[in-house]
Amino acid sequence: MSELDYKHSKILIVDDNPGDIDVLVEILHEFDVRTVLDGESALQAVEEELPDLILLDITLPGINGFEVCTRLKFIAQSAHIPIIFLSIRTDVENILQGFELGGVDYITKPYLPQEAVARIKTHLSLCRAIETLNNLANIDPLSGIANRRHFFNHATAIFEESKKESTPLYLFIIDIDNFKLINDSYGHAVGDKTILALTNSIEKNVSNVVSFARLGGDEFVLMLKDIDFKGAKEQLELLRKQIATTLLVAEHASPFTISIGMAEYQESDNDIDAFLLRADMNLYKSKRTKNVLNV
Amino acid sequence: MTLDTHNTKILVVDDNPVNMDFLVELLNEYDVRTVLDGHSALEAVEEEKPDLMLLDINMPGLSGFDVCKRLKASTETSDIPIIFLTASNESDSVVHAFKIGGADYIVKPYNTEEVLVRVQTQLKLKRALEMLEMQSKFDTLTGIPNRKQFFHDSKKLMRSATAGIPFHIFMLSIEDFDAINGEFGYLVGDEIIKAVPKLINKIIKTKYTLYRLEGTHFILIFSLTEELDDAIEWAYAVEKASERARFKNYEKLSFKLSYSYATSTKDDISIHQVMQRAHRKRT
Repeated sequence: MSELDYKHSKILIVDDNPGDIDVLVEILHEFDVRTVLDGESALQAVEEELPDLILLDITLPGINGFEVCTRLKFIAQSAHIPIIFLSIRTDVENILQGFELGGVDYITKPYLPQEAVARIKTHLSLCRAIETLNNLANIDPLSGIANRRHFFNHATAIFEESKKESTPLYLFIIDIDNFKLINDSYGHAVGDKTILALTNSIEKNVSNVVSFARLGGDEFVLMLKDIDFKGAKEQLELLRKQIATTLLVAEHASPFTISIGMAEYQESDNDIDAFLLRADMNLYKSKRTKNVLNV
Repeated sequence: MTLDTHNTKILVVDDNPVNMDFLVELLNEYDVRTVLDGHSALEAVEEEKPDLMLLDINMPGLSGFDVCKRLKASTETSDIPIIFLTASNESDSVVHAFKIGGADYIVKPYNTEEVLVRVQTQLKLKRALEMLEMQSKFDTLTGIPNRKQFFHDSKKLMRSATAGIPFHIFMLSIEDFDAINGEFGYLVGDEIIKAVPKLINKIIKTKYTLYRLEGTHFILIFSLTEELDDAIEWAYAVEKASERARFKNYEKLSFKLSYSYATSTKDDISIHQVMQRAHRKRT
C-alpha cells in the first residue's frame, strides 16, 4: 500500500509543547495536518471536522490525553477514529492504560520519524481498507449508489422515524421500460449506460431525497422527506417527462422511458415492506401503459 | 474486524530460546511456529506461508535484515508483514528495518500489551487487504469471478484469439427474473442466482470459467480446445437442467437459464464485439 496517497488524510496532532509540534508537522508533511495545544481544543477540533487519525499527547493542560480519548470513544461519530498516544511516559502502567482506553498504538518520546510515519500509515491503510470493504458490501458497483441490502437497513430506520413522528414520507419505485429490449438490441454496455444515465438524472434533478438505491436490474427505489405530496409527485413527474424527451444515451435511437409507482406513508403501513408493496402495486399499474406515474 | 486467531499462522524467528519462549507463551492463541535462525526461517516460509513474521535482527548466519530482503524480493512472499525484534531501539537499525520493508518493530524486553497490539494491527491490515482483493475479483452473492475479473481476463482471451486460438463465449441469462422476484420476493431471487454456478458445476464435465456479469447475466467461457458443437451441447444441457431444478419450500418456483453464444475470430478487436455477436444470436 506504499503507493497510496496520503495528502488528503487528515491528522490531528494534540500536544502542549510547540517544539514537539513543529517537529511532528515537519515529519508528517505528506499528510493534511492540523494541530491543537490542549484537550478542550482537541475535542472542539474533532467536532468541527472528523480527522482520519489523532496523535495524542497524554500530559496536557486541562483535560489530559486519556480523558480526551475516553470522551472521543464515547461519541459515536468519533469512536472509530484511530488514536495513537505519543508520550514521554514510558512506564508499563501508562502504556497499558493507553491501550485499554482504545488507543491503537503508543509511541514513546523520543521516537524516530520513520516509526511514527510507518505506524500512522498502517492505521490509515487499515481504516481505509475497512471503509472500502463496507462500501463494497453496501454500494452497487455499476451505479455507485446504495444496493438493496443497504437500502433495507437504512430505509427501515427512516421509516420508523417517520412513523414515530408522524411526518410525511414518500416512496417511489422506478423501473426502466423495455429494459430487456434495450439490452438485447444494443448490448449490455449500452444497458449499463442507461442505468447510469437514469442514476445521474435522479441525483441531479430530484431534491429532498433521504434514500436512493438500486433494488436490482432496472429497478430503483427513492424516498423523499420534508416535502409535501404535490411537491414530491411533481418532481418525479418532471423527471419522467425529462427522461422521455431527452436522448440521454447516445447509442439509443430514441429516448428511453420510465414507469413509476408512488406511495405516501400511511399509519396503516405497519412496516417498510407494506409501504413498499403499495408503491410496487402502483408501479404494476404503470407498467401496463408505461411512461407514467401512478399513486 | 475479528480475527480467527487459531487459524492465523505466525512464524517467530529468534536465536535466543528464552525470548522465544516468552513470545510463544504470549501468542498462545495463535498458530505459532518457531525457528532459531535465518536459513530455517526461509525454509519454513517456503513450506508454509505464514500470515505474519516476528523476526529477530541479530542472528548468527543470515541476519533478520537478510531474511527480510529475500522475502520482500519475491512476489510470493513480499506481502508477509514482518515485525522486527530488537534488543535496543538503536536508531540506525530501526531506520533500516523500515527502509527494507519491515512493517514495525518491538524492543526487548517486551511490553506484553504492546506486542499483542502491534501483532493484531498487522494481522488485521493483512486480512483487510486480502478481503479487498477477494471482493474486487469475486461476486459476493455467488462467490464466482465478477464482471471486473471477466473484463480483466478477456484481454488474455482476445490476445489468444488474435494469435489464432479462438474461444467460445456463452452468455447465460435467467429468463423472466422480474416475474420471479415479483412473485416470490428478492430473497428467493437471490437463491436462484446462487443456484446457477452450482447447477453448471454439476452438469458441465469439461474445463470452463463462469463469471457473473451483472444481475441475472452470466458468462461462460470454454477452454480454447473445446469444439463449438460440444460447447453448445453443454450449454443446452445446462438450460434443460435449469428447467428441471426445484427449490425446497417453493414448489411452484422454476426458472430457465437460456443461452446465446459466439466464437471469436481473428478480426475481433474487442470483447464487446464478440459479446454483441453472441447477443444477436439468441436461441
